[in-house]
Amino acid sequence: MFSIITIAITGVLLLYLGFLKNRWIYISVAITGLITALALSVFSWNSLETSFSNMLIIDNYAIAFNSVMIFATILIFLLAPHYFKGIEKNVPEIYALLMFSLAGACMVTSFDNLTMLFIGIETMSIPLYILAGSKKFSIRSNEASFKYFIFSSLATAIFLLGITLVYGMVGSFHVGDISNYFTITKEIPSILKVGIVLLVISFGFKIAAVPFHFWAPDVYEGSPTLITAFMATVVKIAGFAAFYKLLSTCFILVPDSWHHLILGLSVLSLIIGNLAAIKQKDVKRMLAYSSISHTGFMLFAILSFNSFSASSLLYYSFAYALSTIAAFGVLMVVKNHMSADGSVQAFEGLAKKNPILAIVMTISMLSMAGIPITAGFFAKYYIFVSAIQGGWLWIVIIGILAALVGVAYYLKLIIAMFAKTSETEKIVTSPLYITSLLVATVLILIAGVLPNLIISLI
Amino acid sequence: MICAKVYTPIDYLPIMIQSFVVLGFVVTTMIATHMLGPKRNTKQKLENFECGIEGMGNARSPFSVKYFVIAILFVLFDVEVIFLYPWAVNFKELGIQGFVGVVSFSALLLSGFGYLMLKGAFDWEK
Amino acid sequence: MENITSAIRIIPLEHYLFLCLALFSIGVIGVLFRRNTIVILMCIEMMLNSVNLLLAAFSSYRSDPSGQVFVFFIMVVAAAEVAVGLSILVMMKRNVDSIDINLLNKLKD
Repeated sequence: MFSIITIAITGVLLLYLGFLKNRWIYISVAITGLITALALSVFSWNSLETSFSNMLIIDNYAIAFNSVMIFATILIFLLAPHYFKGIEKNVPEIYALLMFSLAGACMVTSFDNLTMLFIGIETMSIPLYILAGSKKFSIRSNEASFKYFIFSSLATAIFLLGITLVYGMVGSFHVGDISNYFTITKEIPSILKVGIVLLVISFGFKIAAVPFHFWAPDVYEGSPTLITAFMATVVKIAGFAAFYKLLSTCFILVPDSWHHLILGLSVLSLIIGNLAAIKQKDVKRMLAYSSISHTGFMLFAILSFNSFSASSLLYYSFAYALSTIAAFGVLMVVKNHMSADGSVQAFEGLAKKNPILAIVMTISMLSMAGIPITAGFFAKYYIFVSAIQGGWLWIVIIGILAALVGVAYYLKLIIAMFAKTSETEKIVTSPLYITSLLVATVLILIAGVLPNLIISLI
Repeated sequence: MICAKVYTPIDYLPIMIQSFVVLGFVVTTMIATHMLGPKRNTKQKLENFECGIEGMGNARSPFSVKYFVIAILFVLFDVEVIFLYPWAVNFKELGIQGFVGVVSFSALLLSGFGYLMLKGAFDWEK
Repeated sequence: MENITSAIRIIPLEHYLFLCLALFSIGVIGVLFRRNTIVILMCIEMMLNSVNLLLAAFSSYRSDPSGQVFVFFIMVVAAAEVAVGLSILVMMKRNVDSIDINLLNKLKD
């Protein structure tokens, strides 16, 4: 609870610090606030806490996901000063909005009442509409912002209708009451089933699962890259944590009403995400489709509820966040260097221009593809094990085939980086920037060698 | 005040009759004036009436949206007051805890307002 | 208060349900098919308000006030959302000088 309050207050503080017009002050305040929040979150480990009249329940599940998200945000904030170099206007506001969005994300993972889930999702999304359009004079950024706004609002409305129908049948918004209702009632009214289906559909929008993914590539491409990195990591992880928690606490006893839907979402995301990623020329768009295919893998954890699936989801989120931030970090520099050209060709000869960036990108791509000794391998391994334990062998086979297809487009980028080019102008970055990327890369390797550190947490 | 009487569709018959009468009157008069009135269109007659001044340009040209920010901010701050109503109704029952909650809520809201003032969102002469 | 609740209960619950679902569907269709962005914003508002109506109906049928408190939250969030949406619209209008959604086609495969 205190970590959420710290994040929110840091956000308000950043708004006021913006008047000082010193970019090092507000980045240091932001990172101090985030580290404090991370520490507060980690130190409340094992102390089950309910706050705000049972609106929030902060258990180990919530703390683990919150810590991953706060850590990912710290890495993104370390990238920020270099990304906003030369831009003075509205930077503290962007930091503050990122903070507010993170506060919403932390509420989403620890809800104990559907009211809190709704408020958390909105607190997370509304700043993002503005952030997606924060390049005010770029029409593409405007378009991304507007599309995100429309589809996210549509998802919110569907989500609310779902909550309302559930409330109408159960008579409470409280998670405990809803799960009690299903233990008592044997005959479930069909309106309630419609409500559950609507909730699943709205979460499908939020986590960009096929066939509700169509906004994601456009929004990811049009938004500023730093914001895309935030959307692809923190927002997605929060969405998954909330989705898993909602289904596992409220609707675990009525799997018939949502199991087939999740199955369909998962298989379609795997197939369409990977096939569409192959033919992309723009790297940012390719990463967007690859993020859709990762959604397919992460849905496996929801398919197979057992003691193992929560920790496999956590591990996958951690690995996915690290490699996504590293990939977007390198993309930002390359795109800036090549005068806004983000195609695969722009990466040619990166190994000559800046070997560190090339190594970071290679490891992050290998991790996304799921090659051993990177975290991505064990992420996929654990999530497959969890699915097999749940009895979903055939879907694991589809998953493995999809992962093999995925290797193709990740390798395309790696090959491009080590290709020879005539142009050998060095790419320079700031030390802070490289630190963030190296921390992410080293953690990918550590998590890949010692997976038990994370998998045994929850 | 409100008697719990069960209404049947037949109770709404007067409303239906009234709406038919209203619609019928409007439609009939509109058709009648069209049919009966003489039509002599000239250029002067079709022009916009501008108090004797000749019309120029398009009426739908864009104009300044200076008040847009203030209108939006009004909507936001106006709606936030909604949270004070449940607290005001249960003022005694909620006690000191509710008071602290509402004060912290108002403080956050005021900090947003202060930010807007400093940012110059209310400067008309900009 | 009792009077209002009993007045709401005069109409059967199914009627509220059908009305709200109809309003909601009109909103969804409007968002998907209309080209004017302001109309789209209005449709989103309509969807949220239809949910509010349904919540109020359910709440008084169950004699449980938490549904009505939820309505407050939805109203506030809807206001915030519309403020942001209108700001995005103004920003867009400055750049492309139109609010037609078909002009938003710069991002494609």
